[in-house]
Amino acid sequence: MNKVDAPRWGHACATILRCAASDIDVKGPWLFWSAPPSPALRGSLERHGQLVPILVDAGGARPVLVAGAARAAILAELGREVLCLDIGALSDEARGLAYVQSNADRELTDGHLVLAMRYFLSLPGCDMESVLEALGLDARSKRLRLIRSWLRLPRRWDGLLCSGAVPLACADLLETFAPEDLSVLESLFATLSWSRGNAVNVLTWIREVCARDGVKAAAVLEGLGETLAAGLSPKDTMSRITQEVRRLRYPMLAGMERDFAETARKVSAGTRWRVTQPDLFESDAVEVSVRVTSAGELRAAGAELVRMAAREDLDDLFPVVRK
Amino acid sequence: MTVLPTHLQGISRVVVDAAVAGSTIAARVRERLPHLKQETLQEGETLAAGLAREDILYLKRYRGRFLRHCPGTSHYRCCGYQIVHIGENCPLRCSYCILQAYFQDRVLKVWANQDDLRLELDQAFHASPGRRYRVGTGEFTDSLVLEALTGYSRDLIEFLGNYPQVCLELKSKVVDLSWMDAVRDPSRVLPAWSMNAPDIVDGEEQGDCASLEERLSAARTCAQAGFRVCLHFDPMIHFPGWREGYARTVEMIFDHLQPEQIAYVSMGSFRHMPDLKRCISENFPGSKYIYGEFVTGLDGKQRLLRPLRVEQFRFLADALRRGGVDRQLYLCMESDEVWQAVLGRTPADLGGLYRHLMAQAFGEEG
Ligand code: SF4
Repeated sequence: MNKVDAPRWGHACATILRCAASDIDVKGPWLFWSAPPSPALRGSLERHGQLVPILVDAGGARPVLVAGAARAAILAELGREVLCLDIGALSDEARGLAYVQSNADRELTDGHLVLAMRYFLSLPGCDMESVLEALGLDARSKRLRLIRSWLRLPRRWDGLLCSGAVPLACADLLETFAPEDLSVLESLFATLSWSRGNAVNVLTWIREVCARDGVKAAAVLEGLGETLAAGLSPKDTMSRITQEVRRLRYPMLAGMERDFAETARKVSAGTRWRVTQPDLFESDAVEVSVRVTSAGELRAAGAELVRMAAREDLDDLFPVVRK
Repeated sequence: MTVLPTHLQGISRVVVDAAVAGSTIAARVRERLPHLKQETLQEGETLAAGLAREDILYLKRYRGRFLRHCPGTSHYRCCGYQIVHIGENCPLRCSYCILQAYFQDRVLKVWANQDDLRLELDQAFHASPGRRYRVGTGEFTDSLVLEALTGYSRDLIEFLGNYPQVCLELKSKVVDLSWMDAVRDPSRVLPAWSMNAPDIVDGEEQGDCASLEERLSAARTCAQAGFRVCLHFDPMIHFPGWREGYARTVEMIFDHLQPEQIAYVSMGSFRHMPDLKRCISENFPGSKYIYGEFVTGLDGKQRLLRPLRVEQFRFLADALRRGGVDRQLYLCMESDEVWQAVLGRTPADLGGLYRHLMAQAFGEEG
């Protein structure tokens, strides 16, 4: 009656048992995805009791938790006995794999994968082929390459990855920084969650300024302290940091863009025209555009254009030609 | 036994396709590398991928097209020259070399089926009688870097001696003049050397490239023998001290050559796809010029911001003009706007770059 299907990692016969939550050893390092229990799970256990057993290895002096940390934690708090499925004596590798399998319906984030890989790679002689298969990772995938780069970073960065503050796409960039640079860079991510594109750009530019000028990241970030402390919204803070780092990386281009934007604003002031430079000054082109919804608006825009064309400072729109 | 140039002494294996094992090139290589046993690849066999970082000379039966157009782009002015494809890869190590992004191994491929090459060229040159051709071999390799082993350029020169409508340019960073006595008409062969600022030659052109002095002395030897030479400032590199550097190179040019001995001088700014930048930062971590102000150009390649390019080109062009080189100057892959800003003319003013350079190559313009 209480026999279950034989799992591929353990004994042929698994058995169900009950024990006090406090008796269970819940400290196993293979519980790498443990998170605080959700209120929904707490409510369900309170109202309906434990419907699914947790997985343990009951071969030793105390049952060792293999999977089901959240349920074990809630039941311990509620002072209830815990229903356990003893899956037998397992190696640390098999415990890790059992833990992954018991979370098979979970969508694995980059953070999950990094935490799992750190655990399995710490086990001597671990069969990584089975691990990759269990984690759904293709051995030749870009994702795995980035994860391997990430694993060369200090562990404390894992928290930033798991919280979504730093995307995995930054892994190979981050690993090119020296440890002291990495410590400085943490300040950029401690309170801000960056999109993939912005994070990659900002880190690339910082790295390139360091390489170009032979300076440390701290020197590049020196001027950003004020921005970080200015009390702007996270979105504005990130946008300001991106702009400032880009200006350090491309000082001439940024200067030309700023001058052009100023001139364009002046030239088109009081009109509905938009004046832009379309190709990073690679050509002399300037684009002048307007959006109208009626013949009257079109006529008015035409008159504005005539006024604009009569200005004497139009040459400022063509900075390269002028130089 | 003649001593091989240093850049060829690292070759540790010779592999030959069975189909070309009896070729002239294979025989020469056997004679010049007697200590290396040639390994033969049978039809259908390929050289294994992921080869170690050793120089392997691979004499191959090539089945593709030997005569090709230079891969220009629609937004920038291309010089319209044609490539005679004689092989791939190079044992030298220039940090900026595009070949490192194309070829991940160090297999030096030589198309040893020269009869097929001659046949294709003969057909092409006969197909349009009256048409002239400006061709060169230095696109996927250095024209002369393997010459001491293969004698390829010498063979090509002998063959092209039958086609007065063809002018052959040999573009190199080494000095090998062994082909000179095979030339029937010196006006149909243009020896060419890459020029750069001394700091760039010393720091970024590694792997036993000839020094600037050696290149220019060789150019003078050619000029004295009646050849006109070509000089290529490509890629120009933006680095601290570039003004002094390029000025010094121009001085050296005029210490060695008269303006009329120069058929043309190209100027091209360092441009690259992202792949090449990655290769450079990995293979040459000391090369800082890749962190200049590069922006995406109209052809999708990264180019130095236009005012910086124009400033460098102008500086170099002015220095060369002061020495008497003017009509010979042209820009590689630049827009009319840049031409105008640098040279005060566009290719259209010269009757089109293709025609202009053809005339320069055939010695019709001063
Ligand atoms: S000589 Fe030319 S082909 Fe050879 S490494 Fe240098 S740039 Fe590349």
